[in-house]
Amino acid sequence: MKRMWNVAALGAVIVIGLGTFAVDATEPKAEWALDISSNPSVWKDAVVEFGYNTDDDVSQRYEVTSDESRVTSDLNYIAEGLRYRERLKGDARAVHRLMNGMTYTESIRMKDGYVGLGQYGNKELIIFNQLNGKEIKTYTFDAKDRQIYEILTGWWSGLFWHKGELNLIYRNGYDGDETTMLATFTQTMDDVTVNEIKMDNGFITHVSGTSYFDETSKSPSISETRYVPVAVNAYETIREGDETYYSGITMPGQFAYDTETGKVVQLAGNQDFWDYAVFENRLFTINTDGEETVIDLETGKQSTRKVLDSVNRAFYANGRLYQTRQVKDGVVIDVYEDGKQVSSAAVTPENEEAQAMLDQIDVYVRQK
Amino acid sequence: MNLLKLLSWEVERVTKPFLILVAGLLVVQFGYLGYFLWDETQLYEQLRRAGDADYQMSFANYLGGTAYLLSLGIAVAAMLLYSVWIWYRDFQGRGTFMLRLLTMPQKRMVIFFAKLATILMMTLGLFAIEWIALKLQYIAFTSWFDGKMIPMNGSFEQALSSNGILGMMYPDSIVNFVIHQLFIYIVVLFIFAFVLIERSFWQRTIWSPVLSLSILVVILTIPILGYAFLSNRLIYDETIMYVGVVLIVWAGVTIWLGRRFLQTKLNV
Repeated sequence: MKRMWNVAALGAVIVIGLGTFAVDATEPKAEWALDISSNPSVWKDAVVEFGYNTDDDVSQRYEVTSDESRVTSDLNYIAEGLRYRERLKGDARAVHRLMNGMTYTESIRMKDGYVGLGQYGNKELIIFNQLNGKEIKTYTFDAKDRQIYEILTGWWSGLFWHKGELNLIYRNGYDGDETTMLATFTQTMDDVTVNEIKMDNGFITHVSGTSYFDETSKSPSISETRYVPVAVNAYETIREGDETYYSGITMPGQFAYDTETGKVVQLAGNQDFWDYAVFENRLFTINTDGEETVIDLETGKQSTRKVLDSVNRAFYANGRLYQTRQVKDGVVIDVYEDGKQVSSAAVTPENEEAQAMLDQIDVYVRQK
Repeated sequence: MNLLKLLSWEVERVTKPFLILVAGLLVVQFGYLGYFLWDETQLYEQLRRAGDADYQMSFANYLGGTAYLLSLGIAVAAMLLYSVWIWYRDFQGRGTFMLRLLTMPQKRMVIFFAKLATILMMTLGLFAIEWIALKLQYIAFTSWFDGKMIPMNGSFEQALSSNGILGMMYPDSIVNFVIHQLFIYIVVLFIFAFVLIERSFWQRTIWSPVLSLSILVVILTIPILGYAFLSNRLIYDETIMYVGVVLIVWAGVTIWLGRRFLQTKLNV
């Protein structure tokens, strides 16, 4: 019986110590609600995502819909696996499986699957095309071919689909000596032609609609248009005595690669934009004055309209413009479509933990 | 003799070494904390006088200190050694003690589970004591620097999650804590299986530990090689399922091996 006291004492230490840990465990306890003020149909398939970030605390992420609020950061292994399974459905699973061993990939989402490029180190270039959302057709190019090696070692800016062919824009060189290149893969995917895209100034860094690495949550890409929106950077040369420095800058304005002329053109003026997005063959941009410019990517025609009186924090998602603003008891999200406000909702704290983080959250909206 | 009696008996045998280990850990950690507070305060005062005191103290700096990490390493090493010693101790002195244990009228697996439960309680006990010690160290840390008006940044939780070892020991979720504990017990089960296989060979030469180790290395590496082969084909949720199945298989196989050698092959 005396010996049992040792077990009881150790048991008591365990209960006290790990009981304290269980109470203190940092599993986020904040709860939120999405209060929809008008037009609930806008929020039917929408998920409001937001993160809480401060220097003095562990970062947290949440998702809130009209039905529920849930934590998405620091989930346990099982919950993380279930969440991954829930988000990665159907055609995306097969593509992720293919991308698994690749050292780098870029892809675009078409209506019936994914098309993209991947590389195994600098040894092989893989082109893949998912047919009917299921079967994936691949073709492997060997880097022994000098042209393939140059593609593999270039900086990939992004992909676009044109006339049934996959195109990769990439660049070679650095520090002001960049050359922007276009690699076009044939419909049969077994051959490639490479041409230089002549640019007056700068080089292409990003092609709209491209998913980098294994990100596959983007909306289906635009169908073929004459203009392909791109981001352009340039280097400023700074000379101090005998020393020469290069400073990279993002060129202001909206640019596009013109598939007819093979040149990069400026679609919208020299101004800073809060955000831009492509939806149904149109490029939407919002500038710092709250003016929205809509550009038809087939014809290049554009129209400008005043949408927001002042821009607080605005972004595009799934063809709609969202503007968020902090108020005392939540974050208000106003939704605009075709230049008009179509709905408004607010993310509000449901308990003290949520209330305490309110002024440190950044809100974003995605479709389910 | 039932499981509880054997467990209390095993716990009694380990009480003194366990208390020495705990005392050593606390002395090292609190001693190092005292040195850390004194040293950082001196440094800060120097910088303040020079007008360069523009950095903030973080509890994570203390937790990343060599002495602190070393104390954790010693605790881990002690637990692993004791997992081996808990069996070998009974084979000392021509194995008469083990002989008495094996001839007692209970199933031999009761001995196995009593020893496993002892290690489990010791491990959980160490985790519990270390958690309380960490809380006290954090209180001492913040009180000291507050008193000296030296600025601090980061929370207790942030400091823990940014430390690799403590992040594993005290994860953000209770479920992950249980899963990490399972990992530890599987390591202990492998050690138990090693001892029981090694002690079961009739001619105990240098080959018995080598053979025992070889058997366990094969059991350990087959799923790892399997993963190396499958890793490019599995996506995240499937990998988690694979790891879960492997853990169950490892636990099952090591317990089965322990049972088989303990009940039918063990020689004293």
